[in-house]
Amino acid sequence: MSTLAMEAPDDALSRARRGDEAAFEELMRMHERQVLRTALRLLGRIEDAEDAAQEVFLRLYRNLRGFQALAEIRPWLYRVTVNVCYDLGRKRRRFVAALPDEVPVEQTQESAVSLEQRRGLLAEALAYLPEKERAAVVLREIEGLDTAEVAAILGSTPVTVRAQVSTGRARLREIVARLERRRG
Amino acid sequence: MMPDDFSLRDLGEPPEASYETVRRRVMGEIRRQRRVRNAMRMVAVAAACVVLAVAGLLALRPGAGTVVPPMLARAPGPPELSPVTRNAQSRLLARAARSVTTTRAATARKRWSGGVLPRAPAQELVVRMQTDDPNVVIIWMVD
Repeated sequence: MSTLAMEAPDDALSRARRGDEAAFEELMRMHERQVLRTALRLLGRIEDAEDAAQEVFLRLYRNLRGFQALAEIRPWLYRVTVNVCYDLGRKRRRFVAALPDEVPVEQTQESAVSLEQRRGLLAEALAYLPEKERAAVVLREIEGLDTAEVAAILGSTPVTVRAQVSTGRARLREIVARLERRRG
Repeated sequence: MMPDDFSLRDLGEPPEASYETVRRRVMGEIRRQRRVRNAMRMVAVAAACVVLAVAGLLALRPGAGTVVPPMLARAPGPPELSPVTRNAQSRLLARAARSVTTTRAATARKRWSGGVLPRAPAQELVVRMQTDDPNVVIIWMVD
């Protein structure tokens, strides 16, 4: 049973490589959450994330012959998603936003922020991180990849990734606090 | 609030409609590209058919089957020399031969007489140059 379950996706890959559109759509369904979620966290806007995901899957379609097994697709998709998001973000100049102005703490001490609002703030705060830090935080903390995988995807070293994640988290904390005070 | 208050993984998923949108756009683009590729293939096939048809018509044209003899290029032979030039040439060749003989004889005499030799009489050196024009021959005669 498990053997069959393992063979089916690779079968979809081989059928897609032969030009079967339904098989390619199946491959897309297998990876669409990974691609769209990563793109959304990197770009911040769902419209941009959809554009990036479209470009990523078109590149996958053009490069299908380069894959021998389904397991090769996942890291490749992460790498291409990050690159496409870098390009798109730079093109649309949305990748790194200016940091919000500092607001004195005493003005907002009493403000209460709901969990949903906090999520919104955190998502917004991601947009203020430098692109490499943001990619490292998204892949490591949101996608749950291990440090070595993130390093391979970003073309970096595990030490650098660890540093980027650590700095990114510290920055996020600071940015979220600023955003909270500004809205409070 | 700190990001550590809850996991960053709880940021939430993109809306379900976005997946459908992406899928529809990707498949639409793939089909469009495939249509363009097929159309280009058909245009290429049609162009090849037209070329073959034109080539066939040209081959079936009256007179198209006659064999054209191959053209042979003949290299021009040596220029004809006038009798006067020919006599001059013979004289010059004879003189050159004599000059060589004389030089050899002088060398031999020099070797056997211990290097003391009467000086050989001066010989005429002739250099003959042929030009592109067969009627023009440059002759240098040096005493």
